[in-house]
Amino acid sequence: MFKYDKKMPYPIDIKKKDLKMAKYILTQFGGSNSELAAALRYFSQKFTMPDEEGKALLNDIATEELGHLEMIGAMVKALTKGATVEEMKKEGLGGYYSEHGVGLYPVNASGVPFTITFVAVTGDALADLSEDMAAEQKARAVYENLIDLATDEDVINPLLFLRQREIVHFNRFKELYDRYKRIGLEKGR
Amino acid sequence: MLFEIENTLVSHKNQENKLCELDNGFFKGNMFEKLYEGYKNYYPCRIEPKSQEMKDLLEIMMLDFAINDLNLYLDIHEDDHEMYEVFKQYAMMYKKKLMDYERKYQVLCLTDDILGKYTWTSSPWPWEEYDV
Repeated sequence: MFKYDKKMPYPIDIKKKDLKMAKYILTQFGGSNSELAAALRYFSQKFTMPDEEGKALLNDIATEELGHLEMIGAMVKALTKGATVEEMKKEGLGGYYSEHGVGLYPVNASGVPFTITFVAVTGDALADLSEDMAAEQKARAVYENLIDLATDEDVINPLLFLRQREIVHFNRFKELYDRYKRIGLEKGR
Repeated sequence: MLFEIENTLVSHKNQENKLCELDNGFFKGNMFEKLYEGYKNYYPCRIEPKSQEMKDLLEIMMLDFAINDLNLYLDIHEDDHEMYEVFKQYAMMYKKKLMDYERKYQVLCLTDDILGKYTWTSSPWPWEEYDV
């Protein structure tokens, strides 16, 4: 089961309103390489990991990703704080406002809603882990694009933190993948 | 040094998995020195807490972060006893810091809300303004 801790993995302390940046960062809330996709991907895949190491790693990274999803939500909330409808219209969030007001809805930066088809589960550990490694690389690339778009240090710092986590996760998934290649997949199945 | 958490635990002999100091690892988002990959000329900033409460909370976040990063490593290297010792020490420090913080400020874990009055609902929630 899951238990909630009333704290962030990394502090979000954004003081400057920036609706354009909010719209870009929303992509990590509901885009194809979002934290939501990552959490659901690993959470679903953990049920068919062949051994204890695999079950633990997928479970624990899925859990961490949910914390990152909350960080992204907090960033979007802070970046849109006190925004007027006029401002939202001007910054390209008028369409978003018509459906969602100032609520947080999982969409990408172009407004395309989240769909679970962003995620693959094959029941095959090697295929799933290959997907996971690619997903971490794609998320890293998205964070780099977001860092390129950002100008405020308070926004850049948590983005750098999240980008670095993708690198760590990629390496752990790769270690597990290499291990399964080495020992063969029969063990533990 | 800004944070008074002991950083003496990083003398992990295995150079391949050398750990960063707690605060550095946290700000970088990576406890493992060799695994760190920077981006362009960006370097993660240290956060200077504005109050004692934020400083205490940051220390808890740092310990929790280190525990999580070691957790992922240990998931697939359960035989690394040396790393497990570091994990154990961080986990013990975390428990202590958490208890001290919860007594002083506010409850972070529901099951610790046993000090006489139900306070779980009180603000701020983590996604609200932090003012670090």
